[in-house]
Amino acid sequence: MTEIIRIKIEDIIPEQKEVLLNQGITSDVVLEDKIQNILDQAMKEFRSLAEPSGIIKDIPKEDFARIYIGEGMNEGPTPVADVYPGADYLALFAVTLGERISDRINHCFKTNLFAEGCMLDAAASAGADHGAEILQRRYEKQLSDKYDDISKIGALRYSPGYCGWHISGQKKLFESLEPEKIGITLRETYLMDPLKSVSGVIIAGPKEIHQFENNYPCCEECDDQSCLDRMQALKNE
Amino acid sequence: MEIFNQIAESLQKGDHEKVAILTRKALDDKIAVQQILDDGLIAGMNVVGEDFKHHRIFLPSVLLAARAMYAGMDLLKPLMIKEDVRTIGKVVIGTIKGDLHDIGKNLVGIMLKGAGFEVIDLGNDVPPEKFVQTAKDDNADAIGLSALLTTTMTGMKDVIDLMKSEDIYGKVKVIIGGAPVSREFAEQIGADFYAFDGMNAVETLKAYVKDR
Ligand code: B1M
Repeated sequence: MTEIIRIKIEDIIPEQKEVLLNQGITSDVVLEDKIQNILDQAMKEFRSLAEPSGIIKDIPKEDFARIYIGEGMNEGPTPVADVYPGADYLALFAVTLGERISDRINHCFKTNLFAEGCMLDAAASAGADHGAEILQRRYEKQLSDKYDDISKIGALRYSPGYCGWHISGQKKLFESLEPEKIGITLRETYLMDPLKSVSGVIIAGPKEIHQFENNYPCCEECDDQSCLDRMQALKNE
Repeated sequence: MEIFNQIAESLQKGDHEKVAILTRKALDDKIAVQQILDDGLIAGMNVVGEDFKHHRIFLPSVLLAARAMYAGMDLLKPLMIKEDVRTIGKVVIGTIKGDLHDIGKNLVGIMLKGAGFEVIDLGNDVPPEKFVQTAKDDNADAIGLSALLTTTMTGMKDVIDLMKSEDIYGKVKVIIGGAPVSREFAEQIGADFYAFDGMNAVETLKAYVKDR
């Protein structure tokens, strides 16, 4: 089943510390008033300009196997290839903040409001991630009827372009999910329009399936440690 | 001269209105455009760059200072053209065809301009022909290419190939950057330089124009 979800802005508003961290500012830094003002303004604009929406589609494991193979460009053994066979349920998803927020960011840069544009960009990047998180949480909730003990179950999202799943995987993902229905289109280069969009699969099953050692070939070139944090968070849940 | 210190200090504070007022005053006092640029605006921006490099200030402060610099530059620009004032170099910059990603390229452009380069920003989704033609028409020293994804970064080689066939490869340098790009990739495709961020791009191109 495919569902289109209008996401509430309140649910995806990033925390100020996230927005700052996206610009390399850690939470121990005391902000000058003028920077705090720019941050406040960016949060206000985020609220008025973001048009978050999502699309999610249940998908049988066999169909996902085909989507995952994509254009045949995945890098040998990958975490995703090892995780999904253990899944009970899978859902493709895409989420976007819409065009308006990107237009505003571009406008800021064109009119020399660089700090303002950068702040809003950082907020929008965090907001897009939160949108994906909302879809994942919603999916988890829906699954709770299907299990006797949901506490043993974990749902995590994986995206083309991460963890060895080649970005060209976007093509088959789009063919199946049709995120065009919420205004996301895919370029030949597999880049999504609007820019602040995220796509992927939510994989649900016993928590253990998501645990892996980060010593796959794709891990060698990756300096993003968020997979470790996610695995740890799932263990602690 | 006191006015240069005032311009530089106002710029460091990100006070664009004051920088514009002071630049106007310097022009009214018949101070040479080149001197206002070098000893006021660029001198101030150099301090900002150093402070940023040593984590004494953060990105928003650099960007406020850049806005202030642009406020001064807007007043100088028409006179720079008229008096043929030379910048330290000219860079054509843009995001590769098929790529919409702007922010990283924008930051690099801002930093380069702040360091005294003339920057021609072609925006995003730029075809190779446009990079090469602009570099030729405007007699650029370098082309700066930015990409967000591994799939778009391959377009950088298309620009280099076209530069070769148009016989400007080697004469116009190529600097590349962006999240998926690396020094090894730069070597592989024949780019002259790789920079991991805006400051690094400034240092790299400054060293190049100095040694030239
Ligand atoms: C000319 O000379 C030069 C010199 C230096 C140059 C230069 C030119 N150009 C840039 N530089 C350098 O200087 C700049 C200033 O310091 C820097 O510019 P940047 O543009 O890199 O930096 C910006 C100022 C801030 N940085 C960023 O905005 C990017 C940060 C990371 C974490 C990132 C973010 C935030 C986002 N993303 Co995504 N994202 C990642 C990024 C990982 C990373 N560590 O960089 C990357 C780029 N993303 C990736 C992916 C896969 C994706 N993202 C996606 C989505 C997103 C968000 C929406 C959540 C968000 C915003 C994206 C955006 N750009 O607006 C998707 C694509 C979006 C789309 N529209 O198609 C999606 C495809 C995931 C999905 N399936 O949904 C990866 C690409 C991998 C690949 N194979 O290509 C990625 C490297 C993460 C990873 N896997 O490690 C330097 O690179």
